[in-house]
Amino acid sequence: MKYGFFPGCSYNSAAGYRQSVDAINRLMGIDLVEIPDWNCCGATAFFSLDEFKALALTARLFALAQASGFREIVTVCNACYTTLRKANQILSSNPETVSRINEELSKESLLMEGDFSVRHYLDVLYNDVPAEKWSENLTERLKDYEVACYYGCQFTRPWGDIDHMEQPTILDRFIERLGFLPVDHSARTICCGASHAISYAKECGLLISRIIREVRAKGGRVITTICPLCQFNLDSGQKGIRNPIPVPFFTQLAGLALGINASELGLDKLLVPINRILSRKL
Amino acid sequence: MKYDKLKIGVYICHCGMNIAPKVDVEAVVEFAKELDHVAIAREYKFMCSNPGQELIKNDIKELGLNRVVVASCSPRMHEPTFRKACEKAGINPHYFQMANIREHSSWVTKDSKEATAKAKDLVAAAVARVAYHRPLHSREMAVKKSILVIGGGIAGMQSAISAADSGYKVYLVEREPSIGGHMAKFDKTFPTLDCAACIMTPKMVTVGQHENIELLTYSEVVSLEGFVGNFKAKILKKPRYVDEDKCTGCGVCMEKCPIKKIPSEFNERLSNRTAIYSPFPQAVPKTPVIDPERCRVLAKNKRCGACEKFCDAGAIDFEQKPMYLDIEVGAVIVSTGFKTIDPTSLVNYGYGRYPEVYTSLEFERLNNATGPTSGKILMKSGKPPEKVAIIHCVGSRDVRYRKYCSRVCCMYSIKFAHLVREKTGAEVWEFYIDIRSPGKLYEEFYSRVQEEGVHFVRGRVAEVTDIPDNQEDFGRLTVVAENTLTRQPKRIPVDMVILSVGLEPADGSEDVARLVGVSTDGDGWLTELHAKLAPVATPTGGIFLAGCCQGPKDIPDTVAQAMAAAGEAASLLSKGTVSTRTEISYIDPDLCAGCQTCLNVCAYSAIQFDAGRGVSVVNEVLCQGCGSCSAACPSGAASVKHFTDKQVMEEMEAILN
Repeated sequence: MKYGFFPGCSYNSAAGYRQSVDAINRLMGIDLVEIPDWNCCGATAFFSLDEFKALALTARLFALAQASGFREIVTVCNACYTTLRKANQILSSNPETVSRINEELSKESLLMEGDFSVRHYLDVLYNDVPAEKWSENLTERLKDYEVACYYGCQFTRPWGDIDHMEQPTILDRFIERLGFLPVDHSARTICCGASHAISYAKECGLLISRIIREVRAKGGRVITTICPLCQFNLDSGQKGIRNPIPVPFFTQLAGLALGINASELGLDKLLVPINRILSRKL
Repeated sequence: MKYDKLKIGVYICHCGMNIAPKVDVEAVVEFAKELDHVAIAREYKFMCSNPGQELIKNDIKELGLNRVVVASCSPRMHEPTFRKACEKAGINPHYFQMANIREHSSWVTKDSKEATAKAKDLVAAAVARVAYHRPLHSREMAVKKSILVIGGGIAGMQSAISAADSGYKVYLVEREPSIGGHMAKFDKTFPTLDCAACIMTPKMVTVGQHENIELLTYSEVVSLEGFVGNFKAKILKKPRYVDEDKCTGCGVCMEKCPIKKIPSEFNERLSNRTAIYSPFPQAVPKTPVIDPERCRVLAKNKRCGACEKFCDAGAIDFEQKPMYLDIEVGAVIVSTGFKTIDPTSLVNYGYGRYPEVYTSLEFERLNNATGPTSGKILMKSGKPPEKVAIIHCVGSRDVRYRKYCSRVCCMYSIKFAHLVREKTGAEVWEFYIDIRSPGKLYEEFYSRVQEEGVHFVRGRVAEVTDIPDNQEDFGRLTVVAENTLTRQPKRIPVDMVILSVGLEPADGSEDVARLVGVSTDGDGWLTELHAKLAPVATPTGGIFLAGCCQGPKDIPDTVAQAMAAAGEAASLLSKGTVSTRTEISYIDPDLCAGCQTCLNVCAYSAIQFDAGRGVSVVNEVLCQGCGSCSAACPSGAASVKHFTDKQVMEEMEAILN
């Protein structure tokens, strides 16, 4: 399994995300080929300032992927995922914009044509890796280990195609496949504050604590996320809360289920330590 | 067949300011004067008015016109008007042709020159066509003095009673085991708060006992043939497995039935019923039905028969079979009603996920003395709520679901607020987009409920969640919305949420529409003949509409429309005769090769094969003039009168020249 890979800006710095993704790829035989010389996706901010430049930025990524022979691009971040999908949707129905952008790209001898498939790494792990392959490789039985899945805002919205827009379950189904016990809760897609967590720390603190309280009330002992910003907000936003809830990436949980060492998965980098819970269970 | 003595009169209508000045009417008149056989061309402000018609009649008499063309609006409204004028002046009504220069030109063309040019083309086409018109004569046929009403809610019941009171035989067909429809489920009705049962059950009894009404419950219309005044309907009577003639309605069978855990449809699944059941205590008829999918004897072929053992009247009959009934009626009233929008797909309101989120119909049952809580407003925990939210426009006025306003939700929501205040004293929060209370005493009722201390928040609810803001509200629901009047985001903790779901056409109403030959609009509502001037008639003669099948409406409007439909049907029947269609198919026996292709394409079974002569023959009573046979006929023997090849080709040629 070989895919073009767009890591995005937070991938390297996020707590153990890269390590856990690498570990899983090794074990499951997934080849994520980093798009050479990739640039910022523009996130949501750039599109509201200058749509043409924002589109050019993403089009350059598509052109680079195309040059490496990829029509399918995998991301590990909700913002990258939705930004690239949105750009692809606009570009594929606006040939004029594409030709204007291609004029600019020609300075770098790049060309972008046609439709691209943008996919989240969770989609790959759940839909492309056969269920049997997971069960064959599971070494640790983590049954009854209550995990709350947090999807964030941009994974299913506005798309609603790979899963339900407001009440997605694909991550719940994935971790269930790994032997965990998903808990039903109502905070799956509610806002974590995103990048406002820095500029409006107080207000976002309320949003984050609402998620944490809901998960605790419904019996979740761990919150797992699929996006670096969600993970950072939920992990760092629990400062001063008694009995904080650890927030590992879904790939770190998958690594544990596959029997990979906790430190190899970068679990020691989480701000809310997971060791206490792990040592009790493992 | 042109005659040298053809004398055509052409009349161009201004339609007030609708056709002129966009179309240069004078120029069209001058143009028309130059066309072949045109004896006179005139203009007039309103051709459809009495003086306008007199103009035509005088010219026919004084100038000896034998063909008439009026260029004005769509023939849908006024073709009959002008045909009648021709007939009164002594020429065959089919010697008339209408050119539509309003809908087809002035209303849809920006440029005045283009509009005038098009009007000229259309007039030329009409003149060319009318020259080839043939006189057609219709016959008067006696009408059947009976009426079929489809659907037994308040609309169908009222139509049936009104029509039966005027002396006509009425067949009222209802697919459920009892008549009553949605209104039977309601507790109180806005704005006067009279109890639905109190005003409704007497009507149900009247329907059940009326000497002119034949009530056919648990039945469906499976086919309808014929035409205005002379319909033939086939009714399927589903087996009740209980003999209606023997059953006394004592109800002992329902007490003894061992299958007790079937969600009650009538109680919106908030309570259970047995396998042999009557939907509600006041049901008409009282005869219960056995649910063949749940009964141990019928579904599983097991030994049971408890109902049979205890029935003193010996009314249980497991051998009953579906029965078909053929009836003949002169008119049909469709009153198939509505269903409420299923809010499950609006997941942000949590219906189906949170037990204390109810639809409005469920709440009606909670409120009703015969409902699951005997009329007490209680949560699933058995306690009364202390705080209730009512969310308006659920599924209505929403581009993702139904664009239209469902008309009744504002008023029933306000009624709910009043009932909650009255019965529980709970705090009530109403979240609305706009309050729509245009009806007699409606606005007054709204003001009264505002004064009762109900909070009205103008804002569409974003979500209903069980995540509380404060720990003490754990276990309650929180309604998230913006008060758009104060621009304040709000998070209101409540115990119960009522979703004021909108209305959509009842399941199967599209099938009924197809059955009776009435079209539906984009949302599935049955289409009336004219939105303002013919609100209960349909383009299909003899078929009338009553109640919500035509669009959302409240009880007063429904009853008024039901009486109107009954009145229209009765006036059709009281005349005693109808004219047969003239624009029907004719198969020329000299050209027919007897291939019988037409028999297969005729949707109305209106063509028979005459084996003796070896030709196909059209039944003039059944033919609807659709033209399928004419299109399919390989030898050109079949043609529709008034739409012959020659007439249509001449019309087209005049436009193309």
